[in-house]
Amino acid sequence: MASLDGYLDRACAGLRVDPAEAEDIRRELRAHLEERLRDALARGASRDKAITEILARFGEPEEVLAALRAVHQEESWWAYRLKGMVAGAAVGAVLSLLLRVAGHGAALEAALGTASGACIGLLSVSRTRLVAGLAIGALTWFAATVGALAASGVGSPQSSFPLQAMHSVLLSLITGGVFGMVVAAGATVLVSLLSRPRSGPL
Amino acid sequence: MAGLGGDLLKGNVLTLILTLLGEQPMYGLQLAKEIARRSEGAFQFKEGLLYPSLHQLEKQGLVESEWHPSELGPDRKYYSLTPKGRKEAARRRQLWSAFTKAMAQVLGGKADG
Repeated sequence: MASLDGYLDRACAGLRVDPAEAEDIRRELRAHLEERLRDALARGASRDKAITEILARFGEPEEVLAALRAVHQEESWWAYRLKGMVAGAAVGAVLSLLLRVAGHGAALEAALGTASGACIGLLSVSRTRLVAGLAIGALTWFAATVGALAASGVGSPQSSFPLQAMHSVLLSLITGGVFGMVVAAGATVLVSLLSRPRSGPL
Repeated sequence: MAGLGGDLLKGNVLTLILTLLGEQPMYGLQLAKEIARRSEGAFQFKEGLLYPSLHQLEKQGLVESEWHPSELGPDRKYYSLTPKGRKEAARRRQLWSAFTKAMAQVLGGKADG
């Protein structure tokens, strides 16, 4: 059975506005739907049937969300994506370094894809995009593992030669950062293609 | 009357909204009901899309909004025209009058000579 709250969750998910404004928008949409429902119930309609008809008249939640996002987009599309890429690179670099220092290079680097994808998803606010980001990150797992194994021939921090250890740390930062950015960029492009507004205001 | 929607209506909804708000402050559902009533059901659109349009007008400084309590249920967010919005409403009405006049002349098929 359709519910007003479920509908509003979908219609308001992923709005990149401050929480107070998001709540204001949701409150306004809810007031509309509740008044329609009250009118329908007063006319003797059954609750379930009334809700179904009211939501159909209101529009698909994805359509409403896309139109709201077209108006309430606080950042430019590319600025928003760039932020995601930078965050993905940062996460990738830090994780890569930590894993290499801990002596779990392959396993740790393998986690980068998932972490970067999740980072993008989290930045995107929407649960759908989070899942998409995680999925893309997971798909890079094998690529990350292979890359980490290939790089494992280079010196480690445990090396007795300080320059070699420093080289290894720097290499971890660089490869992790680049890898994180690549993953983030891929996730960004894909999830953005999937979620760009396909509707606008009337 | 059959519903009129799509592009024909889409480009003119803002004119309808601004004109109605020029008469009195209204909240979203009230606007939707009034448009349906005056057009005798001909103008049909997804009601949820009315709000992005109102928010767009507000961001453009053409309307302003304020919550008011309702005795019947939840509070309602009323929209009213700003001075800039009144000018824009008048401009859009003039454009529409000129457009409909030109359309009528063309569709009427009267040609000189």
